[in-house]
Amino acid sequence: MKDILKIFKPLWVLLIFCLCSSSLYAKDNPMLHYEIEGAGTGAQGTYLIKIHVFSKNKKVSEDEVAKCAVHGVLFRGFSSKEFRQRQKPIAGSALVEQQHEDFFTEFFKTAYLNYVQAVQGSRVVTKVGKQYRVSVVMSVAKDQLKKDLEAAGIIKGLNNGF
Amino acid sequence: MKNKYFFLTMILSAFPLLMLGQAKKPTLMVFPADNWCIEHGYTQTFKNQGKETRVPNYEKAIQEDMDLYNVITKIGELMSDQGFPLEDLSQTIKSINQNATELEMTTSRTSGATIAETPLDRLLTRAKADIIVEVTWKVNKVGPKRSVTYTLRGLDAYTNKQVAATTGTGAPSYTAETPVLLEEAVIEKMDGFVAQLQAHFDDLLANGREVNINCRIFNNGRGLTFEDEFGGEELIEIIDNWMDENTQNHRYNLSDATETTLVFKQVRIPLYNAKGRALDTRTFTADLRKYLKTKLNIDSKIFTVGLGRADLILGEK
Repeated sequence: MKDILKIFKPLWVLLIFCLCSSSLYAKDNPMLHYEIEGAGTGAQGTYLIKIHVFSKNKKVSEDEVAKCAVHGVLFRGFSSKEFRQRQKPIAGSALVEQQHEDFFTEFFKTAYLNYVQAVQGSRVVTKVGKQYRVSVVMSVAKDQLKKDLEAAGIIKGLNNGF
Repeated sequence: MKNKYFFLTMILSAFPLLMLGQAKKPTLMVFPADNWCIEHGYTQTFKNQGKETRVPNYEKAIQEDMDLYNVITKIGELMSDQGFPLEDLSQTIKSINQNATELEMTTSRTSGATIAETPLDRLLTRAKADIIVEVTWKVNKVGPKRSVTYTLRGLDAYTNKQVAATTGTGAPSYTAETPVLLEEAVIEKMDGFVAQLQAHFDDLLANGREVNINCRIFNNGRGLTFEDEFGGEELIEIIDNWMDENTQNHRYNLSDATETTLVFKQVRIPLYNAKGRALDTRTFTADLRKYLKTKLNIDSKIFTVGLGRADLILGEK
């Protein structure tokens, strides 16, 4: 029995390390529950999106909404029946977020604010059950975001390899 | 001393990487789709062996249709933003005409000889690209509302595969003019198209370039066929074995094999040869030509079309 425990010891250590690191990552980057949808065609090089953030507090800061907007554009993509839109996530999938955990932990501290801007007067707060839904139309500078992620080696550009 | 060896090893191990050339970049060009040209009357008709044939007149379309000009320019601008500039159709047509005039005018000073040009050279002098990007759109009207249905698709010129595509109808508008609706459609659909193109390039870099290679025989009266035996093996088998050994992960498909023709499709050629030099279909087929010459003493001639198609014609130069 002792031998078996000895064999599995490194695995246990690895498992505990993974759990701790993911919970630390989540602690550093608390992402609110949000939904993302298209809000029409933005100016060239930008996405115009509507972010719905769900929170118990109706005073959700603009930075929190901006974080959700950039996160959504990077890892979720969005669509809209009204505007007949569908865009895939820039970074590919949530798997990329895990693969480049260090980069995104740092990125979602303040850097993300360089790529997003709220459309003035678009904030709407509605009560949904026991929580509030804060909806804001935001413009995300997707071309710049893409270029910077390419430069950081997180995503590949069309020119890579040629 | 140990440090010296360490650095020497590092430098030597990095050397092959430094020697590695860059893979040959495919060219892209935007063309209006055939159905768009027909709908807008930009075609020309000629008789091909008694049969009336209608083909798109790209020169006329580019010169006369402002919407087409704007759409092609916008697509080019967005692709340049991605770091992948396109070859321009209107400029290519102009330069083909200019080159033809220059070729006719050029003579040598000593003998007055003109520049040699075979009928095949003339046939190949046309606007072409490795990936043809076809664009088409239609303005829909329902009462005062207008919307644009827009399609963009990238076709591999050699394998005829659709490598990227995007299509859809934009949100209807009461006030926006057609150029504005078109610009919105181009901007809106471009990212999806680029993402698919990226996937195609990723596949190309991982699994090798997919090309077509045809082997044929000159009808020179010597009676060579692909069924002739050399050392107990038919020529078909010898070429087939060579393909198996030299393609990336042995991926190719001998789709047609007769005594006079071998058609190899979905041939995955490595992006670099053993020397680290970027490989295209011509250099890959040249290796087969050299192999046939040294092993079987068969002369052959290579004829290539762009990056992705080569014909090897056996029998003579």
